[in-house]
Amino acid sequence: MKGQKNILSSTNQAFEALQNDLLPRSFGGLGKLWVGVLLLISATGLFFYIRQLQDGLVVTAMRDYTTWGIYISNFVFFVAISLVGSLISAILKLSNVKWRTPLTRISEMIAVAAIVFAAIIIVIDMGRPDRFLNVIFYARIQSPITWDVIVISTYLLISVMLLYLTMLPDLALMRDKWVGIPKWQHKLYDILSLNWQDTTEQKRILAKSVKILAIVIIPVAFGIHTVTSWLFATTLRPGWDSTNFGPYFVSGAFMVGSGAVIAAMYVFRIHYGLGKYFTDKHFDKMGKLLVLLSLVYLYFNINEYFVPAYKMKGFESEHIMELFTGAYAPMFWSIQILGMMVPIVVLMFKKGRKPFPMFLVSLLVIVGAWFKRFLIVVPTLAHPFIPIDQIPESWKHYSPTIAEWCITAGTLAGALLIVTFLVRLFPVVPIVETAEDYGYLDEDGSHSQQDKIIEGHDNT
Amino acid sequence: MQKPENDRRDFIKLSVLATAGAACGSTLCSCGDQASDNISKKIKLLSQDGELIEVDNDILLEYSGPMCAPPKEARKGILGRKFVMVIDLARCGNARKCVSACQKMHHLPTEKEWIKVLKMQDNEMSSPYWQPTTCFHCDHPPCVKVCPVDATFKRTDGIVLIDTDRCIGCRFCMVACPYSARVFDWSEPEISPEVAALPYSPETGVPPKKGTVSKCDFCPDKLRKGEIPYCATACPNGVIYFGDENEDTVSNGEETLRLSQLLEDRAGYRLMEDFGTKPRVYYLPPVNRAFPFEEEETSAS
Amino acid sequence: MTTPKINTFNHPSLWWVFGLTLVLSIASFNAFAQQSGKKAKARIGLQYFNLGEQEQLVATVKSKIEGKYQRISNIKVNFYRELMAEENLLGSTLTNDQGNAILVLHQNALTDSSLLTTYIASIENNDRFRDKEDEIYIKKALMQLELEEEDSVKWARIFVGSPDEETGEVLPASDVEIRVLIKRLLGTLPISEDLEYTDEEGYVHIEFPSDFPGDKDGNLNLIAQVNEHEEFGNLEIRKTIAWGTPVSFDPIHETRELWSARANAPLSLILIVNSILIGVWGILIYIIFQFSKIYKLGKNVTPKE
Repeated sequence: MKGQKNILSSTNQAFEALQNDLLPRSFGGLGKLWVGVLLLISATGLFFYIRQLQDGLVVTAMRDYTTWGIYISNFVFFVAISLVGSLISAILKLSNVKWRTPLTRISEMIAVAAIVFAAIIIVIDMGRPDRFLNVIFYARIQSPITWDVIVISTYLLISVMLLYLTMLPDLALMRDKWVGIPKWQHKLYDILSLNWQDTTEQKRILAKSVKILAIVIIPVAFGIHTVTSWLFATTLRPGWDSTNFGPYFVSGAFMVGSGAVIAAMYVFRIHYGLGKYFTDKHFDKMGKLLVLLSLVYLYFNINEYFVPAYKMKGFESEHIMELFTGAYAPMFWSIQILGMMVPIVVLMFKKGRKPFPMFLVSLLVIVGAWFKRFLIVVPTLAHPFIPIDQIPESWKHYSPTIAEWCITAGTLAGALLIVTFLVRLFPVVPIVETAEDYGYLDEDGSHSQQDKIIEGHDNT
Repeated sequence: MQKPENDRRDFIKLSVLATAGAACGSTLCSCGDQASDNISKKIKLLSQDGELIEVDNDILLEYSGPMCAPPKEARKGILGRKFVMVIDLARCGNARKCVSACQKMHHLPTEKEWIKVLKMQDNEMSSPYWQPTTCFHCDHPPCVKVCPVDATFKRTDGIVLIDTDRCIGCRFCMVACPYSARVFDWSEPEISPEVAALPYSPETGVPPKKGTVSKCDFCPDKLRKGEIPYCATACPNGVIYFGDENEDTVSNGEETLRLSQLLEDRAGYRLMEDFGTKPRVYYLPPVNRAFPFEEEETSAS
Repeated sequence: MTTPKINTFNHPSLWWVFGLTLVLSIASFNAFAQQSGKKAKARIGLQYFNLGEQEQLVATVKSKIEGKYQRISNIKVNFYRELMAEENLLGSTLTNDQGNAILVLHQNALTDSSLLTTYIASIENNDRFRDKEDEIYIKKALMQLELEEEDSVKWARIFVGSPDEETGEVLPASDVEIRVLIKRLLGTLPISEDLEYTDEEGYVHIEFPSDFPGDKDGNLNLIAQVNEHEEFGNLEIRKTIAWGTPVSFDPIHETRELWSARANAPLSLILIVNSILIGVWGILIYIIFQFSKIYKLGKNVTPKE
C-alpha cells in the first residue's frame, strides 16, 4: 500500500464522504496556534511547579488555616468533568438513546483527559510528591483518600478501555484504508487495532465487552465523585458536614460535563465543519439534557443552602452568611445566577438550544462550575471552629498566588492538550459506528468496499 | 534504613543514656565535678515499657540530647499510661510563656504555634477569656481516621503523633481536625545544623521536614523522664496540669491533684463535646479569675 | 527504737576532694582579686533531706537577672559541717539546670556526738558572683511509717522522734506537720488536703482512702514527709503497699477502629472495600482478557488486501 494515493474505486460514496469528514486532520494554522498557546501555558505551569518542588508549597497562598486551595477545587472540577464519559457512553447507551453516537468519542476523550489531570493535580497538591508511593505501600483503608486513589485509578482504566474498545473498528479502518500518513502513525494504528478484522466473533466480543464496561462504569463514576465529595463530607467542618454532598457533587458533575461536551461539540462543528454530525438536533437534545441536569443540580443546591440557612446553626450560619452576604457573596450569586439560573432559563427556549447560544451557555456553566468548586473548598476552611488568631495577617485570607494560578492554568491547558492530541490521532466522531447508524454498511456490518483506499487529510 | 532489631537495641541504649542524662539535672542525683563520693549511686529511670529501671550513675554524663524513641517504637506509646491535660482557664493571664517555651524546645519559628493562646468569648454578655489551645489528642481522633498512609497515629498512651518521614503532605488531617491544631511546613524549615543533626523521632518532631504536618505532641521526651511538658513547666501561673488518667493524677509542677476530683470540683469540660472526638484535654471554666481580661499581656508574675 | 549509727569521718575520697578544692581556691584567688568589683549578687538557700537510707544537702542558687530571680546552673557550691574551714569541707558540687547543688551525705560523714549539726553551703571565689553562704541547724530525727489495716479501714501511722542529746533515747516529737503522698509518674499526690500534725506521742494516724488507682496489682508507692521543719529539716520515708485499686490495661489495646493503624482497620470495611475492588477489577481483567481474544481471532483471518 505504501506510496499509493488517490486510488478511489468507491462503491459507497456516502461512507467515503463520511470518512473524509471524520478522519483526523493535521493542525492548520489556527490549530498550531492553539497547540502553541496550550503548550506555552502548560510550560509556564511546569516552570512554576518546578519552583514549587524546590521551595515547597510556600509558593502558594495556602497556609495553616486555608490549607486546601484552588488545587483541590481544580481537582474536584476535573473529577466532575470526567463523569461525562460515563453519562454519554454508558447511561445514554444503556437507555438506547440513538443520537448519542457522534458524542461518545469526544465525551470519552474529555473524560480521560480530565481524570488524568485530576490524578496529576492531586500530586501537585501534595507536600511530599516524592512519597507518592506511600499511598500504595502504606495504604490505610480507613482513609477516604485511599478510596479516592482506588476509585480514580479504576475509573481511569475503565475510561481508557471504553475509549479504546469502541475505537477498534475505526483503528482497523485507518490501518487498512488510510494512506499517506507517516509510518509511525500507521504502525500505531496497526498495533492498537488488535488485529481487528471485522469478524462476527470479534464484533460479538466487542459488543459484549463494551456493554459490560458501560454497566460497570456507572457505579464507578458515581463512586469517583461521591468519594471525592466525602473528602469534604467526612469532616466536621461547616459547609461540608452534609449528607447531601454525594448527590450534590454527582449532579453538578453531570451538569458541567455536559457543558464541556457541548462546548467541544461546538468547537469541532465550527473548526472541522462537522455540522453534519454535530447537528442542530444534537445541540437541541444536549440542551434539553443540560436543562434537566441543571434542574437536578438546582434542587440539590437548594437543599444544600436552604436547609442550613433556615436553621442558622452556629458555625454553619457564619459560613452561610459569608456566602450570602459576606466576602464571597459576589462570587456566590454570580455563580448561582450566571452558572445555573441563566443556563436553565436560556435552554428552556428552543432558540436558546441553537448551537451558538448553547456554546455561550456551556461556557457559563463550565466557568461557573470551576468557581463553584472554589466556593465549596475555600470559604469553609477560612472559617474554622477555633478562632483564627496569632498568625500573620496574610495567612488569614486566601487569594491564590501567581504560581498557583499558573500551575492551575497549566493543568487546564494540559487537559485540553490531551483532548487536542487525541483528536489529532483518532476520529473525534466514531466513523464505523456512525456509518452503521446511517446504514452505510452492509447488513453484516462489514465494509462492502473491500479494496478502497482513502486519501489522507494531511493538508487540511 | 536501619534494621528493626538494631533500631530497637539502639533505642534502648539511647533511652537509657538519655533518661540518665536528663536525670542528671534532677534533684535526686548529684553529679558535681568533684563529688567523687557519689560515683556508685544508682538512678531510677522510666523505661520504654513504663517500668522503673535502675541505671548506674556513671553512664549519665555521656548523653545530653533529647530522649525519644525511633519511629517504630514511637508508634507504641508508654505502656500503661493514659496521658491527660487539664487547662485552668481561670488562671490564664495570656503570659504566653507556654507558647515561647514550646517553640523554643521544639525549634519552631515564631509564626508556628503548637500551642496557641486564643481570645475566646462564648457570647456577647460574657466576658472574654484566654484559652491555651493544644492538640487535644482525641481518643476518637478525626485526623487519624483520614490519614491515607498511617503517618499520624494514636498510641496506647493516648498520644497522637505524626511520623514526618511517612507523611505525604496531603493535609487531609489538618482539614479533618475541627480544632485547627495542626500546622504545616510550607517551606524548608530554618533550623540550625545542630538541630538538623538530631536523631529524628516522631516523639519530638525534630528535625522538622518540608512539606509535612506537625503539631503539639504532649512532649513524650519529657514524659519519658517523668516530667510534665514544656508548656506546663513554663507557665508562671500553673495553668496547665498534666498527668496520667490511669493514676488519676495531674500536676502543674507545683501542686499535684486528683484528676477526677479536680474535674468534679471545678466543672471541667472538653471542647465541642458533640463532635464525639473525646479530647484528652480538659478545661476548667474561667470563673473566679486570677486576672481580669486585658487585651495586652497581663501577668507573668 | 534505735539511734542511728554514726561513724567517724574517714572516707578517703574526701581527702582528695579537699586537696583539689585547696588548689582551686588558691588558683581562683587571683581572679577574684581582679574582678571583685564587677561581680553580681547571688542568693543561696540550703536544705537538708533525710530520705531514710540517705541524707542529702541541697543548695539552691538564684540570682537576679533582668529584674527577676532565676536559678543559676553550673555554680560551684562548697558544703561544710559546723564551720567554714577546710578541714570541715564535706564536698563541692556544681548546680544543675534547676540551680540545685546536691551533696549526698554518707552515714559515715556524721559524727556520733553531733545530734545537732550545723551545715553550711557557700559560694566562694566564684568569678561571676560574690561570696555568699547559708547555714542551717539540723537536729537528727527519725521517722517511721507503719501501714495497718484494721476492720477493713486502712491506717497510715507515722511516728516522728528525735534522739535525746544525753541519753540517746528517742523522744517523740509533737506538732510536726506530716504529709502523706503517693508517688506518681509526674508528681507526688497528697492523699488528703488536710494538714496533719503529730500528737504528744509523736504519732499521726491517717485514714487511707481506698479508691486510689495503683498499678496493675494495686501497688502504691507511699511517701511520708516532714517538710522544712525548723529543727529536723526535711524527712522522708517511702513504702510500697497494695492499697490501691488495680488498674488493668490491655497492653495491646489495638482495637479495630476507624482511627486505628492500617493493620487494625475494621473488618467490615476491609471486607467491603476488597470485595468491591475484586469485583470491579475482576471484570476489568476479564475485559483485558477479551482484548487478547480479539487479537487472536484476528490472526486467523487473512487480511483483506
